Amino acid sequence: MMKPDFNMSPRFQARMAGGLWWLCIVSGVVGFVAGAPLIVANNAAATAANILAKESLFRLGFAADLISGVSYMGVTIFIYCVLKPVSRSLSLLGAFFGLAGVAIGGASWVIHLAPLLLLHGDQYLTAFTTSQLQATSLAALNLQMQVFPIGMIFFGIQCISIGYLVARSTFLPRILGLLLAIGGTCYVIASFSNFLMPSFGPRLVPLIMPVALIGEGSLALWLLVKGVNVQRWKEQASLGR
Amino acid sequence: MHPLKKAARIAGAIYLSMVITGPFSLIYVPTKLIVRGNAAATAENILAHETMFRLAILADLFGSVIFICLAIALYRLLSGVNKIWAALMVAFALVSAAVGFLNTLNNIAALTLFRGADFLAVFDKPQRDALGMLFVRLHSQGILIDEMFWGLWLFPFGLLVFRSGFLPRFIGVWLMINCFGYVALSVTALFFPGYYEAAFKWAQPVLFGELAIMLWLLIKGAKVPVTQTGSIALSSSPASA
Repeated sequence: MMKPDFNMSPRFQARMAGGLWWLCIVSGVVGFVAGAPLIVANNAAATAANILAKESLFRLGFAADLISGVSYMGVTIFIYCVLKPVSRSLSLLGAFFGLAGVAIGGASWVIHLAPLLLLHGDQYLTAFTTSQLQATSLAALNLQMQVFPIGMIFFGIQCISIGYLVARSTFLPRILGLLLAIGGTCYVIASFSNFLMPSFGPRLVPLIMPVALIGEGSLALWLLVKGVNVQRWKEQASLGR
Repeated sequence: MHPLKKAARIAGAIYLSMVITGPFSLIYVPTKLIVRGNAAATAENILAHETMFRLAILADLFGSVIFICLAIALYRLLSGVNKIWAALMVAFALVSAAVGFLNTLNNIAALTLFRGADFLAVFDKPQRDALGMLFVRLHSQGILIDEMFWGLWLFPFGLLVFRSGFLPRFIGVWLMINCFGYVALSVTALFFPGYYEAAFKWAQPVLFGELAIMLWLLIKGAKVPVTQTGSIALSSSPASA
């Protein structure tokens, strides 16, 4: 009888983490590119017209958000397993921050669907005028976009802990850990400046996001292409026990 | 009792308590109180049976907490088979519970609007009812999103059951099919809402996989490996030919 390898090797785990990470980044970007152009700032009527005219694009944006969240859960688990030999408790802490971040993102998924309910004009909504419904739907979209920076704080802290563990590991290049930790710090700074200085914060985002993306993208690419140094991984794993 | 058997029975008992509370808040209360497309009638129903509606909110919260306990109980039972898949199973369950917990906020918002405190007097009654109805609808959309996770966690669960050696393989396969059933239902609901009813009817036999494993765990427990030595059975791989 043939038995497939059920117990995944550390290299395979690392590749899964890297692959899912890229899936997460790509679908996140797709979600943004599909959804963002539909929103006309401060113009509820135009936004509503866009959403209704390009409803499949709007739904695609939602689906991409969902895929991005789900694949990130996979990233979190696989990264936890890969970095466990460095420090089990810190690796677990990072994983908890990651899952909490996804759950916070999950809160925004429901709000994301509110505009569709509001704009399709079910019978019961006739209590409001069309422009009131359009305004409410833009408010829901704005609220949904506020959830992103909240989750980002948690992802940022997770990235800092992963970065630290990568730098401390013997089986992954230190520089990648450093880049990721810088990226994670950027996430946290961007989020807080968004809340505390609403006029200045959004201007910081275009500067900070590329730095964060370089950190995440380079580690994800390394994990996908090179995996980990299995022999050193095993050495560190046996040291920790 | 053998520890493996005991772990299985505990998981089965927790599962049972979920199967009891789930249908109450998911099926019974909504069909009893919500009149589709009619906000005034829904508001009247909910205000007339406010306790029942509040009980459904409580059952939702309770269900999420139980889900976390179930995931941990199953982790204890199955982590010996493979740690990574078991961790993935728990991760999906945790995020699902968080999304479910937050989703009850929509029902609470609906109740607040229907009751209409003084500060809501700036809206006339049909408007309050319509807004309340919107939140009721958002709550059901939230459940449809969560359905995706109810499916996703079943894949690692089914795989672990299949490979365990102490639980029947066919139930493992059934659970993995059950996973795709829920995911397909969720995708249908979110992207082709018109087909949801038909899809739900067809998916029924697939969705009984969870009932099967619940009953099996509760009644049969786990098949204790022949070569048993104390507590090793909990952490060792299956010893079968």
